[in-house]
Amino acid sequence: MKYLRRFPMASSLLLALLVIICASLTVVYLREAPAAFSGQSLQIPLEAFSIVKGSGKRQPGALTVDGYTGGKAIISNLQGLKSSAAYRYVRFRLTPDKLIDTLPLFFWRSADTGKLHSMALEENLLDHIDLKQAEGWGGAISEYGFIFTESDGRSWHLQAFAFTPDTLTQALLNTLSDWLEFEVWSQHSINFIYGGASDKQLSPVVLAGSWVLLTLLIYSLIMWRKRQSLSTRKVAAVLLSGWVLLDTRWLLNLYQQMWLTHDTYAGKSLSEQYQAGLDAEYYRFFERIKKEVLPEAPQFIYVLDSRTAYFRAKTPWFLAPHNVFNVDSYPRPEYAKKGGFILILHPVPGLKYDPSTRSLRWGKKGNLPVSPVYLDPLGTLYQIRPPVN
Amino acid sequence: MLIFALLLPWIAGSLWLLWLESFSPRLTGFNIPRILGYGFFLGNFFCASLLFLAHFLFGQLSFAAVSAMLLFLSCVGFLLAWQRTGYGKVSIRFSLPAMEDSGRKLALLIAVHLLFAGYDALNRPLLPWDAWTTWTYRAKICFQNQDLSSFVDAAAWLGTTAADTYTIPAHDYPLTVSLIQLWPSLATGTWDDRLAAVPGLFAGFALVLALYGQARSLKHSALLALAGGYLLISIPLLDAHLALPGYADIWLSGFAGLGFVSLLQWSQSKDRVQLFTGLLFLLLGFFIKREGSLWLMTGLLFALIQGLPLKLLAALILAMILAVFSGFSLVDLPGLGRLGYLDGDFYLPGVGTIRLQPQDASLAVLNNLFTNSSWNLLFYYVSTMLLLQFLPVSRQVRRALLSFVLLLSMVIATIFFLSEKGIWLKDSTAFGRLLLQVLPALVFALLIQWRAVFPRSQTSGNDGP
Repeated sequence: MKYLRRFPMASSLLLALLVIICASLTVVYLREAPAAFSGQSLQIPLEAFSIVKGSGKRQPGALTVDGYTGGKAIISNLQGLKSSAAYRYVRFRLTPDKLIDTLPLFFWRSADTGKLHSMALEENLLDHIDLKQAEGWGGAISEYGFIFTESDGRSWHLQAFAFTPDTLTQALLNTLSDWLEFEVWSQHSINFIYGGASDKQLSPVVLAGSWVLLTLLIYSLIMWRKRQSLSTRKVAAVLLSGWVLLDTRWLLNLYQQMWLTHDTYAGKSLSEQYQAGLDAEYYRFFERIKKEVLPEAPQFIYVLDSRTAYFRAKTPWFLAPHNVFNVDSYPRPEYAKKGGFILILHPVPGLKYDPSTRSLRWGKKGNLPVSPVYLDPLGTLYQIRPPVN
Repeated sequence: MLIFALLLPWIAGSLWLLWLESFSPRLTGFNIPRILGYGFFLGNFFCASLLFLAHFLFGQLSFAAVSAMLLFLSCVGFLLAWQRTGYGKVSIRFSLPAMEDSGRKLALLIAVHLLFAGYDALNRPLLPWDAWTTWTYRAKICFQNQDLSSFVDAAAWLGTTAADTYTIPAHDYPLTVSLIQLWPSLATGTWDDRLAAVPGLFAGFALVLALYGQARSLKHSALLALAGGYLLISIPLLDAHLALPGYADIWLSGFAGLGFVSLLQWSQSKDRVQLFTGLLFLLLGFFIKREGSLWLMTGLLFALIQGLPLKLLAALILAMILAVFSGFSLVDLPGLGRLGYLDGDFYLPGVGTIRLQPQDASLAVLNNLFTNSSWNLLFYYVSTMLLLQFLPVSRQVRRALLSFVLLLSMVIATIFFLSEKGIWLKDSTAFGRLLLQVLPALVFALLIQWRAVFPRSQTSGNDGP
């Protein structure tokens, strides 16, 4: 009590911190329900992995995959894992770690070798996986590894891999890792910021907010008991410290993002930047259509697609100033009147090109005379022909 | 040429703000950070309007014509301000306040945030969805056609064969932000996504300047005013909008957000120039994004609550309740549309109809405000600010802050708890952006509260009221 009255702010800070730490430990313990307080991790040497599909090379401290067969590359540990139940998490270091759509970690169980189990890694959760969430994880695992899908000649480097046990220490380490997880700019960034991993057990914002408010509450009570007024500077310092603490984490994220932007885009022309990003293939496809097929004057273009809303929505941007309509799956009668081009990005079920009548046909009566003018794995461009009569 | 194009609207807007502020009862001189901050947004609004006007007059998008008009506007603004000082010396000197170490660190932190955001904005192609489907897309089309192409709905587009008529889902959104994004490319003569991002990036700096200036007018020390600027610029969602430019929300933050800041300032200082500036900026917000009309009405209500005596206010509320129960719940505002409620629909001018459809969105709201990192600790501090209203504080402060937060909550409740738009909250697509539009006012409310709790922390200040 003597210290409380002598150093009211320092005591409040420490007391609040103690309360928050105890509360956090309780939450982690109750939520994660770890089996033990400590345990040994199982480091898997990179030599245990081999490239079973595609090609690559071994370098000091890394296994690199840079060649694909049939659009896929697989690295695998054929030695498997005998007692998988002893491990709850898998931690790994794989680069580049953020320019991916999906990256499945796969495994086969010895008990049912005919069934491939895979886990598509989620954005913002790329350095550890909770295997408790993985369907089928348990018993003896006969093989595990990563399946890479070819994308723009990208190479991958596996630098570390370890299974870690179900312990409180590990759960806390994972929580810390969740907080520091790099959150790359994506479509959600304009609407909300996760602040680390998307599915973390404990929010650093809640902890920092509770710490600051609890500190101020304790400090106010002490000063009230001492019949003294609050120190403006000390209150301001506490309010700012919680904020700065979270901002430091955010600045670290911005710093990492800046270097990712630098490495990916800096010093390039706009065209080169598009070719360095996730839209690269479609950007090149749209550029070819613009330069090689379409007239220079703006044309009417109708985009049909049944699979990806993203590229259908982005077609007008890439084909500008061409006049693009991207609302439909099937052609409408007005198309023939307006004329122009039809671009089919992904095959639309029930819609097909009939070479005998040189028309697109759908349903029982749907018919639109067209001529194919550009064929590409990413899409087909047809020019609408005026009706014969 | 790019620097000229970016500075010219800023100078024009600032000179007109200078004239406007000359009506304010100043103590020592003009509040230059506030003038520059607000002037940036006003100037860009001038620029977009003049682009539209020049196209109407000359039938083309002309950089030279709009520059000449902006120069003319700047001269008129300067002459008006000069005339207000009796053609004497216009004292616009501004010296950086002497700062202690903490102040330098805060200034450095503000600079670091702007640097990180700027590096991303200027070094990557356009990322956010609505930017390349709506806001920047319209700018790009207009630039490539060198014409103000029209945008219509899908049915109208299918019915026309006009080559310069385009269609997008958000075809009825105001054109202002797209014209602001078009301006730098018009100056350089080439289209580049990154050029379109530049005004949005400057908007972040202007927001900090404006908030700093307003905080100084509250008689806060330079350190506390800088702390306000830092709190604002370090909000992660604002950083995201600076680093990934293209959306209109940061611009509405400059118009509606700073409009509310001026109204809050007026509620404390009773400076009528701030009341006028606040209402003007809220009105201009109407031309930025559809939500602007919502904020304009909220601002008018706020001004009424602050300006009217409590008894008259109570009588007015009673009259409104009686009118609603007597069947007069809907009014037709000439030229603006319907306002009110009828048969399960809310009618708002500029927004249209909002169907009454209660949603259970409370968990999503709590998650958005208090758990994820979009706002740092802002809503912890805003909640504390509300709790502090139950302690003895100045009636003026309590009335202003409580009414502002209550009106804001009413808007959120109407949109997200009572209408089908609550689905936007569940997938978190619009809620954060709506709050971003009034973010400067939320930070400014904290600064007002701070002054009320710690009155001794204020200084005499040297930037006027």
